[in-house]
Amino acid sequence: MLSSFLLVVLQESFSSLAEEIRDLQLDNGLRVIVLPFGEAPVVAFHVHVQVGAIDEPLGQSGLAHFAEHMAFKGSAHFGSRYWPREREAMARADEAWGAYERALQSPPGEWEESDLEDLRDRFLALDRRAVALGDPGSFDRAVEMVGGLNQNAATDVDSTDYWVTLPSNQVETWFWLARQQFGGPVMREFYAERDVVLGERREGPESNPREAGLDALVAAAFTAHPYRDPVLGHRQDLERLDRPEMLAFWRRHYTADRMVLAIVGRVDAEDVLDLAEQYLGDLPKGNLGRERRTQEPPPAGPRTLSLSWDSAPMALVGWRIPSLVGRSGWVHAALGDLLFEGASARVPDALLTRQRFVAQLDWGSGFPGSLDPNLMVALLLPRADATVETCVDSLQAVVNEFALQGPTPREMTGVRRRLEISFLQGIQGRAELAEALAWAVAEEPGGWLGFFQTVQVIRSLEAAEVQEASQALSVNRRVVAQVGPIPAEVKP
Amino acid sequence: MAPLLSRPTLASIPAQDFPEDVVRIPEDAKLSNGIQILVMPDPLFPGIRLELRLRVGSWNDPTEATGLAELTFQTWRSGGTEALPGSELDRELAFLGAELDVHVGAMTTQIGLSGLSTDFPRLLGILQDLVIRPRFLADRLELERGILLGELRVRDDNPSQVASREARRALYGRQDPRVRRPEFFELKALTLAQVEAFYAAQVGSRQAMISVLGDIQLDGIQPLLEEVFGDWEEQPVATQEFFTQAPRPQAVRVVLLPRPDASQTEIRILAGGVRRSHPDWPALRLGAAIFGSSGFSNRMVTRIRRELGLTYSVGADWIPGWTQEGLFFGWCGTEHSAAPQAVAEMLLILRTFLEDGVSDLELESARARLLHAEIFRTDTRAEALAMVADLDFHAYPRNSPEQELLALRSLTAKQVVAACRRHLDPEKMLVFLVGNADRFEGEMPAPLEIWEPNPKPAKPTDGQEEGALLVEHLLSGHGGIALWESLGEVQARLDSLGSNPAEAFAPSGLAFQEAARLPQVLVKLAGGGFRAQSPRPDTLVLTDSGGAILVLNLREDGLVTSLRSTLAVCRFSDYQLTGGVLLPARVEVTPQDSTSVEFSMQWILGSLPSQ
Repeated sequence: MLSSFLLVVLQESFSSLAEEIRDLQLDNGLRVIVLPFGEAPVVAFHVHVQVGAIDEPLGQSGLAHFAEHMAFKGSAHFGSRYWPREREAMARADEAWGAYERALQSPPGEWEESDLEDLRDRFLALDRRAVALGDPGSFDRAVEMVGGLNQNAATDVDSTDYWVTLPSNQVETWFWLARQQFGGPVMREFYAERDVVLGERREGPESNPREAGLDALVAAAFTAHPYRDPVLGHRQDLERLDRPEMLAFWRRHYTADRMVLAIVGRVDAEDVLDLAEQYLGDLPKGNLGRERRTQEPPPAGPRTLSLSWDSAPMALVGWRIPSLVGRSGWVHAALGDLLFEGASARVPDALLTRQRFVAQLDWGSGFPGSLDPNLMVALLLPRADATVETCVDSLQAVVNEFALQGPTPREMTGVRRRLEISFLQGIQGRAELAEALAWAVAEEPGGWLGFFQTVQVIRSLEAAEVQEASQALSVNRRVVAQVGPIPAEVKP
Repeated sequence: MAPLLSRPTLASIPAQDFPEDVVRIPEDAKLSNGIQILVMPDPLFPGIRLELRLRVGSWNDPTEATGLAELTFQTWRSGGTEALPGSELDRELAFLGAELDVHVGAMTTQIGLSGLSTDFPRLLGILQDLVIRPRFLADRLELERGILLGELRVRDDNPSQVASREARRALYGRQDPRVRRPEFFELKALTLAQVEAFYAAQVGSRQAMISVLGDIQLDGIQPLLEEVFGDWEEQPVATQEFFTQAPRPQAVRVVLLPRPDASQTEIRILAGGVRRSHPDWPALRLGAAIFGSSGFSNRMVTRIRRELGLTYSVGADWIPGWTQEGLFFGWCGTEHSAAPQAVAEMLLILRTFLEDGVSDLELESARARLLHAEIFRTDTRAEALAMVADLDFHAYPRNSPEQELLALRSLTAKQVVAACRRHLDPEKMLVFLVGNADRFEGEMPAPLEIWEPNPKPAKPTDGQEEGALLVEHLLSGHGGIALWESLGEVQARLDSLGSNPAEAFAPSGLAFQEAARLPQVLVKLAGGGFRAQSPRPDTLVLTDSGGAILVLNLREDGLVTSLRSTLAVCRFSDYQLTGGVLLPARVEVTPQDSTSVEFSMQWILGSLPSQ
């Protein structure tokens, strides 16, 4: 194996970071991890919450992602012009929405159109009154005023993450704000924000053929597991969600025992742990853990679907692979790299360079999540003179050949080296390091100690385990989504 | 928990400064051929990352060969070296965990090389082979052409991207080099000879720059770089001049690209912008932070997203240029029915900002946002290096970020609004829409013009459609349609020249008047003052409302070589960039009944508004 002096040095300086780590679990179950790091006087905060689309009740798809939006709307103490009156006004708006929604769902003919309009107008008027009692945007304003950079959040099927980077003289400000954010959001402006979420859906999978194709692929691949539902939710569910459902979801899932806070930057670790105790020590402790979820039965054979779209034809090919937690994540990273990454990987070398069937190729694993069995996906854009079918067949042939032969020793040396470099490059920034630490503490069996063993894991990857993993990329575990104009002979 | 309920005083905490010991300035030197090198040691970076910046880009694409620069560099990268041809180079780089990529911009091409420091001498050798002894292989050209054609096939798939691209084309004009896009027929026609010739003529060391980040010191890498690039020659072609002035619409135009099946209407609002060096730039940044940029608490997000729930993303900001003037750029996506409301709200927010000004609280909040966030511009060594490289490459003083910061600290509300008024007029903007106009509920601020992204002249014709296209090409060649539109005032100045003392210009009053005619014709053309027909690809016949006819001959790049009227023939040469437009410095006038006179046009060039 090719050894590099530089990587040894880097690995040592990376491992030495582990000695700087301070961690603490508060009595309410909140896990806090702090890493003093870097030269610049700035600090990255990352909150990982173990709640995602897989936790949503039936008929309430999109709630987890919507909850992430609501976390930026303030609390009873922050963002209200007069809380007692605002609370009452929001309750009345909820009641009016409920009445309107029940009327909408009643059998046809039960309600006159004009009565429905009255109900809607009553709801809109009450909602406006409630909104007027709040102070819209005060949370975002506060974070931005103190220099908050890249404040944002993301929800996926497995988890929800919140992050921001601040100047290091604003650490206590962050804790104060985090308490407002996680201690009890009151879900103000719920109904206007529902339109924003619908707008996000319109801008994403309803506009973009790749996102739409991916949603369709996932829906076809998972028939029982909650991975089948899109993170943004079904439009038909979103349009009916109400604020009481949101409050119930939040109370059930946003508990301290399901949160991990990681802080990386120029900070004093002891001070930060004190602040965590002081500001977040009384967040409610949950005791239910995550609910059991239906597991997907083994694939019963190949599936194919087509999605009509006014776009260039493309194919999305997904194979069912195991959970990516632990060592499996790196084995599948190596597999994906060897097959798809860079011009000399097996698939691009064949399909793009030699056979020239495809013009563009992309790939990823962990679709739509990585905690449970998921998909490794390849996206193929055929050249004008090739068909989608040719591309898919040719792709499968390359994958089959790899599964039969396994990687060569030279390929294994190269992939170990690439993964190590990209891992070390990927945690150069504070924000990236904070995210990786929070994930490791929350979801990886080895916790943060295991995270600092990553390089050793990568170096120990064996050809046999990569070849073994590639057996899953078979036709029988495959789903293909074709996206593009419907061929003339299929048109109704 | 009482203390938790009282909020810390947010803006009262001063902005965080960098401690003295944080390294933020790279070491620099020059190679013997003048290439500037910047080195930022970063012992924690895994390996070395080198960026080579070259003064060449898609702007150098010849007319009818759009995409040539891109295809040239991709073919160059793909060809490999003598020792490592084609895919062998990719395999070797992959084995070493190294990367070599190329990005072609409008005026700059950036080549990036990264790898472990132990491998770096070898990697530099590979880069030297590629740069100095490039291999252009026919087979690889076809491979890269196929990939680029694939990108063309998907470029209209996402309406949001279509809107951002086509709005720029509508503002600048389809043929403007800043927004020109390759078409299938052009890419398919490019040849290996063109690619080789392009590289030979356009790629060289003149004013190039190398920046290096990673586990390395200047004295360690300078001798290596000298050995590799020190005798690389300058490109044989002369330095390219660019017109840099942004188009400035003279009224509100609403242009629609129909996409009846799209899920929503995409809205873009465009106007001309400024360079980073413009004295108003800090004030414009601060103004935009109030009405539409940076984060979630500006007026557009508050009103259009938060209060009205019309959209997921909305905003407006300046996109400043280093050398180009850049753009003012607003964006929103909303349901088709709500598009007129969203446009009206966006314009109203701008109007209210310009007319009613801002409160002190709003100004201080925006100022705090920008000042506190300033530290993040260079909070990693990679960012600090990139900033110095940008400043040096575009010949900006290294202290310009500090100057900007000083200005940000002291600007008053009045100054901010006054600066924005100088550059922003809601009555003079391009509103570009991609969506379904049948479902619009409400009025747009002007009648809809339909946008045709790729007009194909029907044949046979009387030459009018070809004429319209050729007019567009001509105006783009001379600096851009919108620019000539905005030069209406020049018309007045030129008209007043009719009574000028002639001795400074020409022995003949007639010759002088004819020579002044070209800029007049361009202004009038931009205003639609002629019926234009094109009997041949290089000829334009213009008829004005009085029936007078002018015949123009054009070069391939759209510049006028001659102008024939009933009175005289003018021949133009020695085109020069001035005031953002291209005009000839010399003209030879041959009146119908006299001998020809040649004289300088400097007086006309001098009468144009300076940039």
